Amino acid sequence: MKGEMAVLSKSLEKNKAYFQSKFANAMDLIVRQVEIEGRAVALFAVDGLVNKEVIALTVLEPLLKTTDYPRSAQGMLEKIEREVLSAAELKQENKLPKLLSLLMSGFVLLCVDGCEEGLVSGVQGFAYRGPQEPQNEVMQRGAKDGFTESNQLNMAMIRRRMKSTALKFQPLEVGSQSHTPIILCYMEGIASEKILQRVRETLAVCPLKTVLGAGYLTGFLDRGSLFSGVGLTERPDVVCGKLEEGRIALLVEGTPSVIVLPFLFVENFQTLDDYLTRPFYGTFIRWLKYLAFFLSAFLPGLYVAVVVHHPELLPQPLLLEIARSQAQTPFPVMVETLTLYFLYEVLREAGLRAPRSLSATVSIVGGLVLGDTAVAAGLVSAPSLLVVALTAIAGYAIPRLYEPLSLLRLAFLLVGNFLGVWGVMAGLVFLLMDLCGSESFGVPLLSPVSPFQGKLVLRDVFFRSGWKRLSREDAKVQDMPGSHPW
Amino acid sequence: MERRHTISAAQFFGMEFVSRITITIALNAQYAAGESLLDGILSYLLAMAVGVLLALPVWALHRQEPRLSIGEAAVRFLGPIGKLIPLGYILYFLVMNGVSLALFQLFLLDNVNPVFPAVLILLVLVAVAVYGAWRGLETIARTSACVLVLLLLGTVLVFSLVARRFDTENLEPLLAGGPAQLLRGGALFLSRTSLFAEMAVLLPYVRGRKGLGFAVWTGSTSLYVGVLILLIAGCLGQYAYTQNFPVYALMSITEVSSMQRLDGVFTGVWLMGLIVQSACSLTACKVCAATLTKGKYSLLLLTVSGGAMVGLGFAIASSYLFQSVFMDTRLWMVLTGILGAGVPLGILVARKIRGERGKG
Repeated sequence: MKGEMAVLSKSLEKNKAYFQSKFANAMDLIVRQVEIEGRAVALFAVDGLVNKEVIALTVLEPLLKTTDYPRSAQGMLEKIEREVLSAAELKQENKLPKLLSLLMSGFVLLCVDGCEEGLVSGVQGFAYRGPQEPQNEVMQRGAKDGFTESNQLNMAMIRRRMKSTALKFQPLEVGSQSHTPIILCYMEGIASEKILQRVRETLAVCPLKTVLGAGYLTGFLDRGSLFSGVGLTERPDVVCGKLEEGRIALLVEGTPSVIVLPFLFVENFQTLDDYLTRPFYGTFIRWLKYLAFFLSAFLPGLYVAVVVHHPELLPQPLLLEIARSQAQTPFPVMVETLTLYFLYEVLREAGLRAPRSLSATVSIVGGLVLGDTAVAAGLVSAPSLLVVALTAIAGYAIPRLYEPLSLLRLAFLLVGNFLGVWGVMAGLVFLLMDLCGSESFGVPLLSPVSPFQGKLVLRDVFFRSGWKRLSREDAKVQDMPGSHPW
Repeated sequence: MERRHTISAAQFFGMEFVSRITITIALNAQYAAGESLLDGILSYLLAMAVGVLLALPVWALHRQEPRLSIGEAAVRFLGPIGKLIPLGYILYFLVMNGVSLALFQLFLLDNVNPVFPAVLILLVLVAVAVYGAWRGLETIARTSACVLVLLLLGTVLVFSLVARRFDTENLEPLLAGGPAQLLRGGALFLSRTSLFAEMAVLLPYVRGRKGLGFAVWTGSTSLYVGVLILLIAGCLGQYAYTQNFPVYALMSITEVSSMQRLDGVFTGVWLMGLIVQSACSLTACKVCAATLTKGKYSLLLLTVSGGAMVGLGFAIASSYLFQSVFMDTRLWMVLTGILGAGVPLGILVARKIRGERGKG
């Protein structure tokens, strides 16, 4: 704003007036003014973000106990910085926007009357949740700690696992209003410089005012495909594995979800447990997940398409069984399946949002009572219920794909009903085109399946090779076939 | 306009392999092989041998001007009249795909008789193809690689299952009816080959060992068509001659465990292949149109071209007159000859006369 102060003034009163005007009607600004050897000194901090005990013990007490300060204001500030305060994070700063940002990040600001510089010291003391097992990425054999809402703690969790000087944490900021701190985390010499630059540029021009979660940023980092080119994880061990492959992580303050990019389609089927079990079992589990994907996406559509348009494709006993069930229900198979599908989605949402004490009841009422009664009452057929239930369970085998799968299921159900197997096939090709045409920071989303690279596909896509082979050669994400990261 | 050299030779010829199979499985046994199905194998080999000669002008032009598509080369070396050349190619691709769509619609109406208008399927199919062409050649090439795998898996499944029904007594001696049928079959296969025209337009967008790709394409399609014809002849015998779509008949008699019909595999393969083929041709149309419009209005042009394809397909399927005109082997033989070899040869001559060198 025109005429507004940009840097600290020599006058402490002016500085006080500035901060008080900025925090007008906000009761959390703490201002403590003391007089030291005849010179006014003020401390500024934001309540709730700082540890008051630490301020009292490490700032105020030594400040008041020390004597023989130089007569000049600048000299006094320098003595305080060099000899009085013992905080680890301590620096001089005079730019007011920066000082405001530091105050709101849990720093204390010390201003001396007559001095144009301020002294900021890190005394953060806000409460945060400690590491707990991630709720959305449960592992059988992996570590039990997950990311928290604090970037400092999250960085420590990564550093504890990667004791390498190549591991870099670059601070960034997004949100013109929220000034949310973001840490760009990568392995120097492994991550692509071009992709790093692209991420920095994208975040620098991000027009968001407020960033309250990692999901706010994915829309700006992604290219609008049905399947996302940006991954989210709550596990530090997963992030470390991805960094090793040249990927980049974005730690967003205030959220336990860490953004990982570039993120390929095949990664939706990979979990840390795959790498902690023996290769043959890891491979088996992976194929189960591929099957689950196809079941989850196509089964309702194919079921409706075959029953409505191509019953001749079914074996006779199955066809007769389905026909018998259908004859006892009043609705067409499409209406039946669609209703069951929506009911399932409603129950899922209710189970998710209901208070924890009620969610078990919701599941029982939904899963057992409604389903069983609907079939017994002749409202829906058992095969349709079975198809929807199987589809839902299959979807949970690949939780990262739940969002696109729920839409795909619906789309295939509709085209299956109106256009039969041909509609489903056309939909499949459309899906392939969308996947094949999408990229994540210049790396083809379907890589290394298409463009095909046999070595990589056999190494960690169709098969999960043993660690002897996996450790023999690096597979950097930017080296995937067809990649051209700017 | 896409970047130059976006797909590899393997991707390009993989895409063309899918197109070839799509065209082949729609062939009528009587048209292709008259009274002797096995002659169809020799006909295909003959078509490929002539095809190698037909492709020479395209190769020569591409060697001289590796960065120019046929439309750009025509405009550069033929002057204002050269602007008609891209239009000719656009029409060729539209009508060629219109015929393929018409065959698919006829198949749906004759064999499956869906409860919804068959043209709806064509609309959806072409809409997906337009989407692919809009996303670019790289997208289509990658998609066709996936489709190719599905197609080969489906083929291997059906071939291995149907092989049990193979009876050598169904086979007839080669060339029993004389060489006339051999030539007719060869002409049919050759006339329905859009590869030469597509090479003329799209080769500048292909990198890698294109000669090897062409050789592998020729060999692999010959093998595929050979095995397919052998199976049709050995499994269906005289029954094949009564079928408009003998490959469909072959699939519908295939049994696997309690599944008594695999014609779904056939329609699936055909439909997926048609989408890839249409998308590839639409991309070729886009490249040709870009010569005239400087790359503007590509989505509009693609949508209009897609609509025209569906319209043509519907019209051809609905009218005997159109069928007799647009499914005439002689017409396609001439068009394929002109656009596959004649035009590139003409441009080469014009280039020689004008004494210009490619600046690309």
